[in-house]
This record gives sequence, C-alpha cells and structure tokens, in this order.
Amino acid sequence: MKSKEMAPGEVLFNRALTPQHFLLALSLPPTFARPVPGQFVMIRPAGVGPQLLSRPLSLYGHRGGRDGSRIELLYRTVGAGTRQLAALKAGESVEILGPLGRGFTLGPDVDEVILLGGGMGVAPLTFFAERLGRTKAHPRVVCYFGAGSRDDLIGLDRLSPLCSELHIATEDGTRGERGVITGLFAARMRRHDPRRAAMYACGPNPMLRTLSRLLAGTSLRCQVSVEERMACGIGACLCCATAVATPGGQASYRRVCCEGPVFNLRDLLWDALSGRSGSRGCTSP
Amino acid sequence: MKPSKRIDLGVRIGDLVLKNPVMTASGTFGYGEEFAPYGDLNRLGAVIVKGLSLEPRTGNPPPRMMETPSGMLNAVGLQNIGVRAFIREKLPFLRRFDCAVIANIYGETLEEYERVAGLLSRASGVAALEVNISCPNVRRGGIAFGARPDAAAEVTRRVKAAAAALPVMVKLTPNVTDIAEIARAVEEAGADAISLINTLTGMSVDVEKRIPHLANVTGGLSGPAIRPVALRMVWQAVQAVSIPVVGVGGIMNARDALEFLIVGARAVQVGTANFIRPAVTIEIIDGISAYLARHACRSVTEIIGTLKTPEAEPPGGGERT
Repeated sequence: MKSKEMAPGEVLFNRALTPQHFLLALSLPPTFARPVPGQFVMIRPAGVGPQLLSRPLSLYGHRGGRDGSRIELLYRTVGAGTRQLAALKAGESVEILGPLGRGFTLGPDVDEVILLGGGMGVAPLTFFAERLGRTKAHPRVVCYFGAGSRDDLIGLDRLSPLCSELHIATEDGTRGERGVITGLFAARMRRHDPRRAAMYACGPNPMLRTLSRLLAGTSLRCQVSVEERMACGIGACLCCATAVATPGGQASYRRVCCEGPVFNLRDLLWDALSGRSGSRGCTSP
Repeated sequence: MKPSKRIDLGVRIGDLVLKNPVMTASGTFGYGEEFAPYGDLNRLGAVIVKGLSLEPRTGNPPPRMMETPSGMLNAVGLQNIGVRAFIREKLPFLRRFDCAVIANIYGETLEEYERVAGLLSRASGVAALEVNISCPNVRRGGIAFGARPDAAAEVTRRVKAAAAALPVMVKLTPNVTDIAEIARAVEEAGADAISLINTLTGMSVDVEKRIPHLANVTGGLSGPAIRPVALRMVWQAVQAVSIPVVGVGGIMNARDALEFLIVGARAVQVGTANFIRPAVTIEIIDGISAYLARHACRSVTEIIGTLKTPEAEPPGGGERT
C-alpha cells in the first residue's frame, strides 16, 4: 500500500546569506518526485530535537538524476524551528516529506509572466522562472521584487538573469524605488495586457492583500502561494486553513497544504472567516 | 528487525477485538486516506477518524496552531464534513482495509450526539464509537459535557442507547479536578471503554505584537509535553473503573506506548506523532513486538497492568533512613 515515504536527506551546505537568511542544499534519494514550482517540503532535522514539528518551506531549486535529487531551500530564521534548521551542518541528516501541495500552473496562451515577490516570496518565484526558461513557451518574464531594505533582497543574483525586466523597491529606499513593491507595480500595471499576461505572487499577507485590491477591477489572472502554519503538511491536522470563496460563492476553509499553497488570488477571502482583521495567519515561526 | 510472528499483539476492548493495541487518535489521522500513501493501514489496530458532527462544521479561524515546548497548541474547532458525508464519501475507502474503524462523534446537544450515533450504527464498516466530550476548542458541547460527572453520564447513556450494538468508548478531558469521578460516572452510565486524555487547555502569546498566537486565544495542548500528565491520569482511571482504559497523550514511540500499557491501558492512541512521521504508528507496533520478544512475552496482555509499585512502602515511597 505504501507509495510515499519520509525521505532521509543529507545536508550538502547550509549557507548564511545574511545573519537571518540561509540557503540550504540537500541531497535526497531518487524516490523524491520531480517538484512543480510552488510546491513545498516539510523538513526537520533527523532524530529527536527540541522542536517537534517539521517546517514547511517552498522549493527554491531542484535537480534530479538517476542517483538522486538535489533540492535547495531558501529560508529566514523567524522562530525556534527555523533557528534549529539554521544550525544544520554539511553532512547532517534531515527528514523530508514532499514534494507537497499544488504548484503554479501556466496557461497555454501566456506570453508574458509577471512575478511579484516580497521578501522570502522570491524562493518559489525564482524556481518558477527557472523552470519557465526551459519550457517551449518560454514567456517573457517581468519581475517585481521588494523587501524592507537592501539586505533583505535575497536571491537577486539568481533571479536577475531569469527576467527580461526586474523592478526593485525597498521600503527604506536603500535599493531601487523607495516604497512597497505593490506601489511600484500599481504605477506600471497598465503596461501589462491581461489577455497575454499571467501573474504569480508570493510574499507577506499585507502585500497579497494590497495586490488583490489592485487587481480587483482587472481581468489579470494571478496565482499566489500562501503561507500558513502547518503541523503535518499532508492534510490531516487541518491547522493550515485559509478562507476561500467556493465556486458556489460561499466562504469556506481550504487546507493550504493540499488545496494550496497556490491559489487563485481572486478566490482568497480577506475578511470573511479569517481571524483578526487583516491577518491571514503568518509564516512558520 | 522483523519481530517474531508468534507474539500475539491482539487485545479486546469490550466486544471490540483489535489485532494490536495501537490506534490513531482522532483529529490526527484525518479520515485515514491522507495516510494511506505513507503506510499500510492494514497494520493498524484501529483508525479513529476526525470527530464527526451531524452537519458539516467550518472550524475556527486561522491561525489555528502554534508549536510550544515539546508540544503544540491547536484550535481547529472540529472542522469536519459531517456524519452523512463521512458515511457516503470516506467510509467506503476505509472499509477496504482490515483495520477497525472507530468513529469519533461530537454534538452540541444531547440530541445531536444521539442522531450522529444512530446514523453510524446503521452504517456498514464502523467497529465502534468514540464519544468526544472533551474538545476544548468549541463553544458548545465538547468539554461542557466532559467536565461534569452528571453531564458526562447523560451523554454516555444517550449515545449507548442510540448506538445499538456498537461498542461505545468515551474520551475524557484532563481539564477536571478528579478524573476518577468522571471515569466512574461514565462507566456506571454504560460506557464499554474510556479513552484519555484529550488535550490540556493552553495558551501562547506573541509578545512583540501582544496578541495570542491562536485566533481562538486558547487551544488544546498535545505532544510529549503532556505525556506524564496523561500517564498519571490513565493510571488513576485504571484503578477507578473496571472497563478497559485506552491511553492517549504524547506517545512518540514504542517505549512511550509501553508506559501506558504497563500502567494498565488496554490499548493506546497515537496522535501528534502522526504529524511528524506519517508511518510512526507502524514503527510503534513493531517496537512493541520487539520489546515483547526481548522480555520473552508471548502476548501483549502479559504486560498490561504490570506496573510494580512500592505498595507496602509508606506514603512518599522510597527507603526509610
């Protein structure tokens, strides 16, 4: 009956890009399936540690071969769980479940892809842009990337060559335009033809919420990757609920781990059923 | 290491015969199908499904979960598809496995408990009911019934009457002053077994934002953090009643499960550990077998309730100086 398993992974390197940001590369057995950008893994250091639960992290890169897979994860230390990951050293073991969830999809009639990322949202978008470069369709990629400050613009070196245009904003103005990235996008959004373009976004909830307001009056398609705290990652714990509009027009909870993490932005509900006003949960601590 | 086949892991919970004493705790194993890709459900003693109510329940707003030291808080709020959809859409899948299916049921009123029990008693493929009178995350029902002996007894009587021939196990909350009193009340009301503990009510605060980590403010604490409390309460319950007691609370491995069996639990439920390692229940079953082989036991029943306590010692135990 068994068809999937928790795979043992070995840390190839766990590089500190800044004191808070890390790039983790893992070697995995060949059983690890080829992931779709936007999918995630549940990861924890092998054995018994002070933190019990795995952490959900979006895939940043993947290379598959007959002997096994190599994946990359980009993360920021936010709490005890991610700090525990940051302590991993080359050669140490991790337990990996995945690839999990539903990733980004590309329609047949798209010749311009707009990426909008905030902070660590860059990870799945970069992986997606990289995969797009290898498709036959090979759409033009226009990227909007924002962060609080210059030092939080992680992964620019890899993202930059994948984009035809790259627009940058920082809230303190230390790089690119001063302000939030949705502001920069708002000023330029008329340049994108909704019939030819498709948009993909990932980042903090206030960013996604602003984007949903910006796109409300347009026909621009937008898929977003949503973050929520998770315990299991496989649909059992029901902890990662997020409020969406069902086809019947009703509000309902969906599991970010199974029905997501990629949703159509227009299906996400920001007030009905959600918790505190303006909060759609938060990143994994 | 493949344990010897001669070891009998079978246990009886009243009329319910299980091939081994390891069940999956309600709310931690979905409807079973979520875990089927990760392990053979045929190996399990029983699958206890997510709590079922008469009508579908939306559950609580997010955030619903926070990891805490050696455990986690959840406030899912019994989100479920409703008993009719369970019977129609989920039970046929579970029937394919040689594994007892126990339906956990929940109601806001006595009538709702009765109706859910009635519907399940007429469905094919349900081996027993587990009555949730201990959920800390819903406003009505749940713990409101489980914290008072008279209310717990009344739910038990009504479910037992509605459940026809199905064995009824009542899941108790640890959020009470005297677990023995509740356990006895439920036994006298006709319960075939009791299971304990459900989660301990807890709370966690984001000090930067000064807001609770859970939208529901409070949640249920589970995981190894609660295991010593669970073990103590199971031990007390075993002494208070003569019906089988099923131990639940922070079991992560075979050693933890054995602790509960040794203090007298007839079987155990594994909960939070399923979230961390989806095939953990199977590892626990194999681990129990290996332990029994090492201790030259031919049946798991040989170790149930075999705790050696220094009864002859004065209160406080230990040697006198």
